[in-house]
Amino acid sequence: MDEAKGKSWAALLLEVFTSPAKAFKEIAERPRFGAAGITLTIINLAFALLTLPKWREYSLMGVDFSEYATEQMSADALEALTQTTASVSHILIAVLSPWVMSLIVVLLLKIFAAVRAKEAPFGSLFAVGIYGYAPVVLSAVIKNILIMFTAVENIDKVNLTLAVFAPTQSGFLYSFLTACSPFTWWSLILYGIGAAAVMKDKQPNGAIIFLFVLWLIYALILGALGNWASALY
Amino acid sequence: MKKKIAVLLGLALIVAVIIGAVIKSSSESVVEVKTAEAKTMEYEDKVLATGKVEVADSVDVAPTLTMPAKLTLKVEEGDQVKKGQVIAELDVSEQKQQLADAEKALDAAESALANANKAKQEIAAAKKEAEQNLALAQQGLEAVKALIQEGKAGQEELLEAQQAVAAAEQAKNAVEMQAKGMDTSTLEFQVEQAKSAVNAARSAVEKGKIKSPIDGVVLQITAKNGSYVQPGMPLITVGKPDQLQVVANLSEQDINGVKAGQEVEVRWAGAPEQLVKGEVKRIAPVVSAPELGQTETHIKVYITIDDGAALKPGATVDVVIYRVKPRQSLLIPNEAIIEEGGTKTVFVVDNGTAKKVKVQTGHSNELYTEINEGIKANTKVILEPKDIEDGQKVRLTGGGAQ
Repeated sequence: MDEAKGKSWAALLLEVFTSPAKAFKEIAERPRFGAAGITLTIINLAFALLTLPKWREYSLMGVDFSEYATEQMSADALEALTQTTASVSHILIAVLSPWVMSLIVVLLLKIFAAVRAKEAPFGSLFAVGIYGYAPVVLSAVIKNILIMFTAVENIDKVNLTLAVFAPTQSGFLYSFLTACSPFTWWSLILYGIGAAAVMKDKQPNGAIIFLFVLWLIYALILGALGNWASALY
Repeated sequence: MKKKIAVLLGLALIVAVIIGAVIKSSSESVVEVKTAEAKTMEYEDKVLATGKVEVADSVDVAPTLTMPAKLTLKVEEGDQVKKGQVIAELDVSEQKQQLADAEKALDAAESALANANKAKQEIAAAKKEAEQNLALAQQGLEAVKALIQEGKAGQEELLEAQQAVAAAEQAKNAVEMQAKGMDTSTLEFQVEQAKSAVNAARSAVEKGKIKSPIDGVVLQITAKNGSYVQPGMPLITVGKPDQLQVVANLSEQDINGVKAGQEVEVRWAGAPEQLVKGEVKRIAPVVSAPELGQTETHIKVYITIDDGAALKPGATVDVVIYRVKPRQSLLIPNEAIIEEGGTKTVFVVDNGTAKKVKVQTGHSNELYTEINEGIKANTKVILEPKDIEDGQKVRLTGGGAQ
């Protein structure tokens, strides 16, 4: 019945890419996220499954399991365990990431709303989180398509972040750049627009700056950890 | 307008990132490797161990009495002693008493033998007299028989002469019987036994005097004056402190490459400023069992030292054995070397490509290997290159061991 009153969830999902302000205004007025969330999850999972054989093969590369074999666990058993772990984690990430990311966004935006003494219902923010996650799903689709046409030993180089331009694959700069994804930034902007719609702000700048500052802290921490890890190595 | 430019820039960035990812993922497979530079550095191969300073020529002196005895020391640690000098005495009053008893028994045995010999001489004289008497009696009998034929004597004289011969024979036989019963061999044996007993007792008394077997210095006294000591228990160590040696205990993995003649440095905490030079003299042919309180087996290495004035016997010292003395060598980390059928190779990085190079190596220690031939200084070698193939593209990730 709700569908009759406004645009469908599919139309909204497309409009998020073309006219995000309009789309989020309607999402804020009539928050719905179930169908869109499931759709994004299915797309994520479908493309993850397409590349699963390659990731299973990649998980065994460069590891001599006979070195780690014990009386309790043979090299073959270790290989099987590694492949199973890789598969499960790959699928879990594909399935859970839209929901977990949306929850994190809700949490952050709730804090932002509390600081500004604005009203921001959980359902509306969660809907913003789900719809705002669409660019990240788009990047996952592109990435998985590229992986399908890439040699197994090179699939770790399929990277839709600025790290693709990094001179080395270790250190602070590389790790920092891995956080610099245009798709992530796109999503952050959408989250900001959505938050502004939910909080009935005229301009989304405040929420966008808030999210980008948090993202920058995260990127710097990631860079520092990468630097520390490469020093250890 | 600004919004459109921002969107266009965003799209351009996305496209650039996608193109970059496509190019990067379709490029030739590049393996990331860790490298180290071959460098000319000081190289040495040494073994660190601890050792004990010992006197090379020393003797532990122990009592040889067959029973515990009270000890009286005649020297103190550090005293100079001569070979044969009494350095301790044991209480041998019991042995002295045994000697006196043995000497008395010997006197008695010798006296008995002397008496027996005297009696034997007397019997011999009596026997000679009896034989003479018999000869005279027989001559008398012959004379009487001649007179009877001439008619100058009768039967009565003949009977008397015959009786005289019989009496002389009887006397001779009696003396001979007496001589036969006079055997002194038993007494002689008893004298010999008594002499042996005296010698044994005298030896036991003599063992109470503990003498130094060599010229030297009393290095250690392990028993207290007045204490009762057991037979065979080392009491005093006598040696020549100017002839010291160090006995180092090396583990089984460290002994590899250690040879007689290698240079050694010895340092003692009691005189840390003094470095004592030495040389490996010999290596024990067996692996020794762990010492008390330790779990690892070890091999004893005997080291002669040039000047032991700075050391004291019994001291625990730090020992450095140089398998290779410090020298300038071209070195690479051990993990860069691959050994295949006796041939040693390394992978060097040449314009981003791994290149297999045969090398001739010298000595190795736990970190580095000397390179005699094959690569030059400052060449980058790949560490742990077991999965690298000749000609493979590589990318360097930080440095390895320097």
